[in-house]
Order: sequence, then C-alpha cells, then structure tokens
Amino acid sequence: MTEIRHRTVFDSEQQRAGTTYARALLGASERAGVTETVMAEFASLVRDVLDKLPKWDAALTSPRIPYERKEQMLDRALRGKMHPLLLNFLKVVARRGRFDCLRAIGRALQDEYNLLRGRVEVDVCSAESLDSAAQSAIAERLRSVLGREVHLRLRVDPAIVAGLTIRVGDTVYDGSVVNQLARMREEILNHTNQQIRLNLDRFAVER
Amino acid sequence: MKFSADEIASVIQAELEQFESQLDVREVGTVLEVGDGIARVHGLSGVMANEMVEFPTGVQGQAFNLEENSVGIIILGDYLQIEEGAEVRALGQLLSVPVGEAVIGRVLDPLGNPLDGKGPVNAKERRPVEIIAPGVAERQPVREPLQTGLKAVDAMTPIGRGQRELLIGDRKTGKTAIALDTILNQKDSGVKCFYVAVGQKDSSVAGVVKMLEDHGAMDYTTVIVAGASSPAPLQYVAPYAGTSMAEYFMWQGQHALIIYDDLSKQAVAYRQLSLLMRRPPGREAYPGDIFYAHSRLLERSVKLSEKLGGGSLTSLPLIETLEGEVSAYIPTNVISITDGQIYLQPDLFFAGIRPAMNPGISVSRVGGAAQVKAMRNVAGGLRLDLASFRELEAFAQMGTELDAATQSRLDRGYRMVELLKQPQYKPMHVVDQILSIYAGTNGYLDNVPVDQVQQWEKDFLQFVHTHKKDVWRMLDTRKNEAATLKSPDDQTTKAVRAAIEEFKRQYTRRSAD
Repeated sequence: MTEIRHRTVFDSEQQRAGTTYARALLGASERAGVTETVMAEFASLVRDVLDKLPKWDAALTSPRIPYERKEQMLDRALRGKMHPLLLNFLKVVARRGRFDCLRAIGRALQDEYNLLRGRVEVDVCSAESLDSAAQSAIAERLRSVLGREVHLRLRVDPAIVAGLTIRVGDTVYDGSVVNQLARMREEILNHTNQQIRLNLDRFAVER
Repeated sequence: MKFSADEIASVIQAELEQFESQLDVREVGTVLEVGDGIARVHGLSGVMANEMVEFPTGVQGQAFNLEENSVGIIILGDYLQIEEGAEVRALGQLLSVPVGEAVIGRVLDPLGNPLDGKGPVNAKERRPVEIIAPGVAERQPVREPLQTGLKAVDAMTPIGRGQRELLIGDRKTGKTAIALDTILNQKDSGVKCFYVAVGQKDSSVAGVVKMLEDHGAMDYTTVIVAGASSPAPLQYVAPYAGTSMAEYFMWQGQHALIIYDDLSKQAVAYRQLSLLMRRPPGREAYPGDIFYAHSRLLERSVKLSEKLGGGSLTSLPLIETLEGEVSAYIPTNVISITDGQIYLQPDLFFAGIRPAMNPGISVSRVGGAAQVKAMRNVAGGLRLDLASFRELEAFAQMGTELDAATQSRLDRGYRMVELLKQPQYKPMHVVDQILSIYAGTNGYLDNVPVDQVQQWEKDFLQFVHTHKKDVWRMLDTRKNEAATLKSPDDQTTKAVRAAIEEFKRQYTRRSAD
C-alpha cells in the first residue's frame, strides 16, 4: 500500500465534517463529565500513535478495508487503554469511513472546547522568547481587552526584528518593527515621488 | 537634468518626522489552493463581496465567492508566485482605477498601471470599477449625433450620444475597423475615446496604438489592454475599468465614447472564472449571471439629464460570431441589451463592399432621433431601399427579363452600394456625406458607369471644396434645420442641385475629351 507522502495542509471540506463530529464527541463527553480526559487522550492518540505509525493510520483511513476489520483493529490495540467513550467514538468514525478527518476533528475539538469554556486562542509572535512575566502581562492585557479567558500560543521569529504580532481568529494586530519599517519605506517612497512630480524644479540642479 | 540629493533627503527627513507608528490591524486568511487565476482562502471571516485583498507578493485580488468554509478570490495579476499557506489580507476597499485627464493618451492595464513606458499616471482621483448605472430620473433620451464618419453607418444606422450600438460579425469582417474609424472621426468633436482591448493579441493592440498615434488620435484616446496572455480576472475586469475612466468625463458634462473589443472574449474569461469557482454552468457552459455581467456594463452608457450636466457615454461593444451564427447565447444576449446592431457579413466584405454592413438586419433603435436633420431628409429611405435592392438583385440573377422600371431600380442600387463603400481610416465630414448621398439618391449618378462612381464622388467633393465652399458652409450651418434638403423649393436644395449640375457639366466635358 502506498503511503500518503503529502498531506494537504488544510481541507475545508474535511474541516466541516470534523466540526460536526467534534461537537458530537464534546456533547457526549460533557454529559459524562470526562471532557478533559477525552481531549487529552485524543491529542495523545494523534500525536503518539497515528503520527508514529503511519501505516496503521493509512490502514484505518483506507476505504479498501471493511469497517468490521477496522473495529477489530481498534479493539485489539486500544481497549482498556483509553476511555470507552473515545473508543466508541473512534469506531463510529471508522464505520462512517471518516477516519481521514481525524486530524480535522482534533482541531475542531480544540476550537469547540475553547468556545464552550469561553476561552480564546491567541497566537503571539515575538523576536525573542518571552519570559513568564512578559507572558502573563500579555495574557492579562489581552484578557481585559477581549473579555475572555486567553490561551497563548507562543512563537519566536527573529525576522520581525522587535515588537509583537498578535493574532486572534482572523484578525492580526501587527506591532512588529519589520512591518513598521515596510510601511515607512512605502510612505516615504510615495511622498517623495509625489513631491518630485509636483515640483520638479526644486530637485533639479543646474549643470 | 540632475537631481539634488540634499533636497530629496530633506523631504525624506520631513516624512520621517511625521511618521506615526500605529498598530497595524488587519484581517487575514490562509491560501488553501491557487491556480489559473483564482485562489481559495480559509479565514477572512469578515471579508465582503468584491472587497480587495492583498497577497504577500503584493498582487491584489478580489473576493468573488463567499462560501461557508472558504472565500474564492480572483487574482488580478501574477498568480504563479503565490503559495499554499500564504497569508492574505483584506484591504477594506473596492477595486478602483485612476481617472481624469491624466489617463488620456495613455495605454493602461485594467488596474490603471501604465503599459506604455511614459511614467506613472498622475491622476488625482480614483473611481470604483463597479458602479451601479444612473437611474431613470438621471437620464434623458438620446438626442445628439455621434458621427462615425462612415457614410453607411451615419446614413442608415445613425448613432446618438449615450447609445449602445453593437458591432457584430464573423472574424475579419471589419468590426474593429469601424470602431477605430469612429475614434479617428472624433478628432475635433471633443469626444474622449476609450478603447478596451480584451483577449486580443498584443501585436494587434500595438498596431492599433501605432495607428492611433500616427493619426493624432492618441491626444484624446485611452487604450485599456488585457491581452490574450493576461490572466482571466484581468480580462473580465477590463471593460468595467475602462467604463469607470470614461464615466468620469460623462459626469463632468463632457462626452465620451468607449469601445469594447470584444465582449465575446470577456464572456469567455468570465466563464473560465466562474467554472473554476465551481459556479454552476448554464447554456454553453456560461454562468447564470453572464447576462447581468453584460447588462450592468452596458447600462452604464447613458445620456445624462441637463440637471446633471448633460454628459454622455456612448458605447460600441463588439461581438464575434462563428459562421454568422447570431442566435448563439452571447450574441442574442448582447443584441437584446443594446440599442441596435450593425451586422457585418464576410461575403459582402470579400465582394469588396467595405464597410461590409448588411443593411437588411442592421438597425439603430434610438439613433434616428439624434441624426443630423439634413442627413435624415436625404437618407431616410436608404436602408429599406438597399435591403429591397438586395432581394431584387438575387431575383435578377436568375436571368429573367426585367422591365425598365425594375432595371432602373437595380442600376440605382448598384450605384448606391458603390457610393457607400469607404476606405479604412478615411472618415468623412457629415456635410460631405450628405452631399454624396444626396447625389446618389436623387439620380445624379444614374448615367455614371458603376466602376467610376467612387472617382466621381471624389472629384465632386473636391469640386465643392474648391469652387463651392459657400454651399458647403451653408449646409454646415443649416444641417440641423428640419427644412434643409427636404423640399425641392428650399434654398439649400436649390444650391446643392446647382452645384451638382455645374459639376456634372464639367465632368461630362472632361470625360468627353
């Protein structure tokens, strides 16, 4: 069986299906009161099992293997090692032939969970790694502005020179020095161009 | 000339001192897939329909499809450098182009960027590309003529300022030639001309620009080019962009003329975009809103009311048919939108009848009211006469014996067809046209051999210009009076007759020698 070499970065159709499954899983686990356990186990399943064993992942995803076999595989490998609710969920996913959406489900699960708990994920990018005091200051400030619990995802990128870029959802607040430099360059170019066009004599030198 | 570095430095310094560092807030999305001039983007949750977006390469795009999980973007520029995962930012603006006197004489792309190497466009104003056309109260009926300088068109299918007249025909039948002659004829009329080339060979466009320059027509003309190698989104946008530039002059109370060469190729570009965006295909695989794409464009050609300055925008859309098939989808659409059509036929073209206009099925629905009065008096029945002549001619070819009356109608028809021929790039003044057609319709050419008609016309007009300038001037001043050349007793009629008869005496004497 050929392995999947290039996974599409993001598939909006899968994401749509994933959101539906994630909501269902979250609803069931919330009722059973085991949401945090299920989420942790789900993340671990993707990270520690499927990412490490791509062939097993491919087998579960493959439409050529009947779902009974997939259920047996899941039972043999995972029974007793994870919460039965999650195992049942995986079997449902296998039966519906939606195992290809598993990572999309994982992403949607996190988003839906944040929504449920009134949290918001914020991407923070800085030029150097931030110490814990700076981190908590940023989180505190964002919490007061956004009015919601903030979960920071930190990233270090020396290319922004200094300052911070903060992304909440689809909105980017860009306070990076590299962005300011670019804007400064653009404004100066435009302005100087305009001045030269309006008043050529001022810049001309007699030879 | 040399630039002074110190002065430039001082400008930069002033600018630096004024620079305020503000937090840059932007709405972003991520490219999911890109290709063939379109991109699908995840995110951009607050983007609005037709809003502009910018890719990291600086290329701009337009939000075209707003879907549940993604946004379809048409990319107005080079799409080959854009990668999956790239950040797209919304600009919070609609697509706009520079307008004003600065665009006149330039060759521009549909975004208003110069293509002629004559430096940046120093426009002070911009106008959005998509504008809803003026409503009923803002218009008035078409009433002033727009002279094309072509006898056949000005006599039989007159065009008024604010009219939409379709030029339709197969390839190589002279559609562009008519449009370009019309531009050349606007030299002293004050009409600003816009030539929108969509999906054409860049070599043809270069030829057109060269020709316009050689005839001094670039002084009042703008050429907007989205060539065959331009991405489909630019070809789709070009007619709207050109219209925005032309509309500026209309709203200034001036007159403008725009030529869309041609709308079939724009329709094809729009079909490509729509299919790539997975909009459902309809007839001939065109999307459902292809009619709206053309109707909203052509509705923007308007004669504004006096209160709004009375400016006008006249448009000459071109449509290329295949094998004369006017009942295909796009031709029928555009025929139904426009105020008449000039139908060009290859068999006429190859028979040497140029412009190769078929008078039987060419019409102008509103131009009659705008026609120069003297021309209307002279050429009123010409179109129907010529159409019936064609039928008679076909009948006569069967070798039947003809009575004298029919034979004389045939003879008159042959001479009129000959008289309406006109070489390319030689537009005629309306008074010259009136004189020629008066001579033809009143039988003064009946005893001139058919192959000498064109020479006769040339000599006659030269005669009038050299010896009868007073008659020419009288016609020019009185051409808009209803009585001119109407009754035989009118002063103008008498003067023109006397001039023709005097010329004929000279002509027969000369040919007898």
